[in-house]
Amino acid sequence: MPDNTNDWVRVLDTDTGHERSVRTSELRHGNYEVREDVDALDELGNPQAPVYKDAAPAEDTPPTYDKRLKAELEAEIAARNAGRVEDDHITASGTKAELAAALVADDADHPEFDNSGLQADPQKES
Amino acid sequence: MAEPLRPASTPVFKRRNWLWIPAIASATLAPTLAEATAASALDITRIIFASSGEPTQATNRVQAERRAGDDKAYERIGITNVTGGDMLYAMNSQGATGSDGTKWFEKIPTGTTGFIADRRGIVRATNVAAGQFVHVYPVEFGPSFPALAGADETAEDAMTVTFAITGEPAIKVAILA
Repeated sequence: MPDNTNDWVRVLDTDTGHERSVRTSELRHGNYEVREDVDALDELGNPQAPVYKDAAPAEDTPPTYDKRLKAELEAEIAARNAGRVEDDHITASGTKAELAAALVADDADHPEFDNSGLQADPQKES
Repeated sequence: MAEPLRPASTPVFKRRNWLWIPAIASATLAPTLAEATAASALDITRIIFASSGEPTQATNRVQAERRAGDDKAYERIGITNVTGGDMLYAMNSQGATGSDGTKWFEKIPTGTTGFIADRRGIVRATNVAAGQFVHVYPVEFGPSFPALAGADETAEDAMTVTFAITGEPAIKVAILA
């Protein structure tokens, strides 16, 4: 009989760009790249949720701050400034475009933030 | 009075496909062409037997409480149960690992989740293409178990597997480019 094991593995489906957990018996039935650096199961033993290609911002995606409200940008800047020394503060005044530009510049200096202003998942980098 | 509208029939005999799509990114469950045609996907139309169970829905009609002075009682729409079924599929127990006769069995070990899409009204061998409409059901499979399709002199090697509908189906969604 064909094997039908319960071993899980994390894969990148190169046809779709989606990353998900599959059984090892499925490996031969798709164009998969095994992601040995990512756990296939969570701490409860359940398969990790899929990560869809289009759900994650691509590395070359332009900053999305210009699509956010000015108040949101000001709040983002205030949140970042709160934990920093004054020399490292972002200028919190100006037009929406200026605030967006300041955040884009700040992203370059602080890679812990992705270009949507959300703090990057530390596990994503590992 | 004008002649009432009479839409043309849409035969599905030989014009129906069941597609296995392991992952769909869209929240609306509209699959992309890449998702529906990936090597990890599979057209199971000619693997499953015609007697296989299909997703079904049953909606309860509940009787409204009758008021003391009423002599009639009416109804309301109650709970809708969306259910899967028992799939019977062809199997080659002597087949080599990865061969056509074992592929579906290997792809759906117990606990497998994904989506089955029902494409209707298009000739079976027509390639999946963007713009075609499908009904999409999120499913989870139970364990496969050896079975026979047919009996006695018509018996064929087969497997049976129960599948559950795990979420809201997407009815008539277009395949995305």
